[in-house]
Amino acid sequence: MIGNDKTAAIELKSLTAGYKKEGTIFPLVGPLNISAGKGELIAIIGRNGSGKSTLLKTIAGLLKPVEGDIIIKGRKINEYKRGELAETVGYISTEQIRVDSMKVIELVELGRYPYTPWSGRLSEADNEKVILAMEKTGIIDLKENFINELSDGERQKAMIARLIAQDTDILIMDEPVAFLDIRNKYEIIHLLRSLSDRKNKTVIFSGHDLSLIMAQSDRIWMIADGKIYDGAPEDMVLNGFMNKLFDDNGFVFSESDATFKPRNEFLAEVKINGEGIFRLWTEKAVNRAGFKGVSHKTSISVTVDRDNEGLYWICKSDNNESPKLRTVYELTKWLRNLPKKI
Amino acid sequence: MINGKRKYELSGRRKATLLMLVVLIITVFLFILDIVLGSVSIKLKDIVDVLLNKSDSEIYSIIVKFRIPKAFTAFLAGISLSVSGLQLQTIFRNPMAGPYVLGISAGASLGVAVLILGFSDYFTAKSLELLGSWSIAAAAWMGAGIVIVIIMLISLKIKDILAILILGIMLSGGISSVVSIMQYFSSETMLKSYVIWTMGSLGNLSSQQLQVMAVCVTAGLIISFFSLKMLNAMLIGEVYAGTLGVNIKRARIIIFTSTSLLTGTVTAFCGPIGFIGVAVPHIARMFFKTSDHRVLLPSVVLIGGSVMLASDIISQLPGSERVLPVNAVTSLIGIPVVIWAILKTRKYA
Repeated sequence: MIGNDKTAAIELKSLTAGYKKEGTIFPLVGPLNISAGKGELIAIIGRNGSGKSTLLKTIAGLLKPVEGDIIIKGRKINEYKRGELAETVGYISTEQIRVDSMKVIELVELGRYPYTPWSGRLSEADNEKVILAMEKTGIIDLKENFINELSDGERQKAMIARLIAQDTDILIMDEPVAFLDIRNKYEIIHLLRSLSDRKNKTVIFSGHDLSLIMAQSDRIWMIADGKIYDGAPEDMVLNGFMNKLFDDNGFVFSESDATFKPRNEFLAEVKINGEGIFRLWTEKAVNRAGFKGVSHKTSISVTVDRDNEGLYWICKSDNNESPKLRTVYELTKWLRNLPKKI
Repeated sequence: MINGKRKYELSGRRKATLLMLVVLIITVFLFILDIVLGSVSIKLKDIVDVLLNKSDSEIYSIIVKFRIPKAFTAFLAGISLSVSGLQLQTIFRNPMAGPYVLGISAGASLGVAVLILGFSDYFTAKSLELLGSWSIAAAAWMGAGIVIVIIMLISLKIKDILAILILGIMLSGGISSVVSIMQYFSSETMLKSYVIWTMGSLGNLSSQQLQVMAVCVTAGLIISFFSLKMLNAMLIGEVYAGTLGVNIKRARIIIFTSTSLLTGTVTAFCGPIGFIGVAVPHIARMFFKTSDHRVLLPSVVLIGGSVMLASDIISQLPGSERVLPVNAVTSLIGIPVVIWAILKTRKYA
């Protein structure tokens, strides 16, 4: 069976991914019929244990499919020779590599392994790709450092640099930003974005950083109940798929800001008077304090406005009126005390 | 940036070359020193004289028949054990791995014991010599190979570095009990030849044995030389090495063949020698500050050879009639390095 989608980088045909333990097969996801286009940035999300890593490993050729086929650029994965596959599909996991006396540059140079002759000697072009990969990931200044002496985040960036140096058309990454701080998370996801936009590389990665994934990925493959829910981030939201991440545990996905919130029982409704972002952020605070922000008239109201000293909030209820509160923090404190005052 | 890189490469490579040259000079120096020093002190000038004129003096026979072969044996043994240690540390991704600590040397002894003692009823002491150096070597390779495969299989299940070490100790212990049981049941003459073999040192190899050893060590080194690229990839683990295109099964077979050849041969002719294999790769990494096997292999060869030559010099207690067992000296040199390596590893654990 040869793939019929000419533009697809990867096609999964009735693929079931799972693992084997003591002779028994545990299928986790599938059967799947889905394909990833060239140059797409695809995020796999799902709960822990849903089979994200297993699926990624199967696509990368590290695990045999329980059933079905993986077709890479029109050819079945098992028709590839080792070397060819290494030039086409790159993979990183969350495993933290520790090697005695290994320098960052030596790790990144290993990315060129499929292209070097038996001696392992790097050509001028290989060296340039290694340097470029370290520049892109922002670790060029660390190139002479030992990887054992790096922070977890720096080491992860070095691993990603190795993957970029491998220069494959398809990049499979299992939680590439798991160990990184927020700035590094953004930098790496942006890097993946530019790899797909500028180099037309297909990137499939898993992660838990929803708002980042919603903002940057072309597609989301959400694994739930052994199935994949596929769509652009916006499709996922509008079709109500996101709630499958939580089922019914008292959390709801908020369509407006791509976060999960506890299903609130609000104490009362609060009318908010204000404009633009002042209104938006005031509403967030009001919600957190346990009240539902509305725009029709109610017995409690919050007004946000500005005088010559800056922003202020005034909270009114039937028998009570706050002074000019100068911070949102004071406002929420006032609101939390309200029920007792009512 | 590209220019900067080139500059780095040149200076890095030049530094490594320079360092390698220094190590080479030290090795040559130790080799000569090993020939000069001994229980009978001979002046260097006399040695050169004797070698050039080939006069059939007593000094000539000491030098040519005893000291030079012994220095060669020490050099080859040091190389073999150290290269084995390097390969084992990389394949098992375990800084504590080495032919002795993992019980591979013990496995090689078992191979020889089975050959000498197991067939004791069929052989006389005379026929043992007829067994020849090759069959003893081959028995040792097999013993070493079997232990490597056992450790390999278990390390697929257990990833813990220290657990694997304990396993090696258990294997060594188990193997020596098997050997003692075999000794109990074997004839006196066989026992005697076996005991003499176990006390094997660097000094009593026949020229034929030395030839066999040289051939096997060269073969092991050639295999190792052709697997340098593979070894580099294996550093980051089998999963990643696989995604880089390494055929893991084949890589293991190739590298384990080399390790069995190297460790087996040395153990067959010199007896088990401890702690060189585990210590020397650490010394090499400390000096050369790299994990690249293209640099590490030659440096391990030279440092391994040097350390063994130095151990041999010390074991002869120059100027005195007494000789220490070389195994005691190598342990005293190797163990501090191993402890240092453990402390270094724990720091990052």
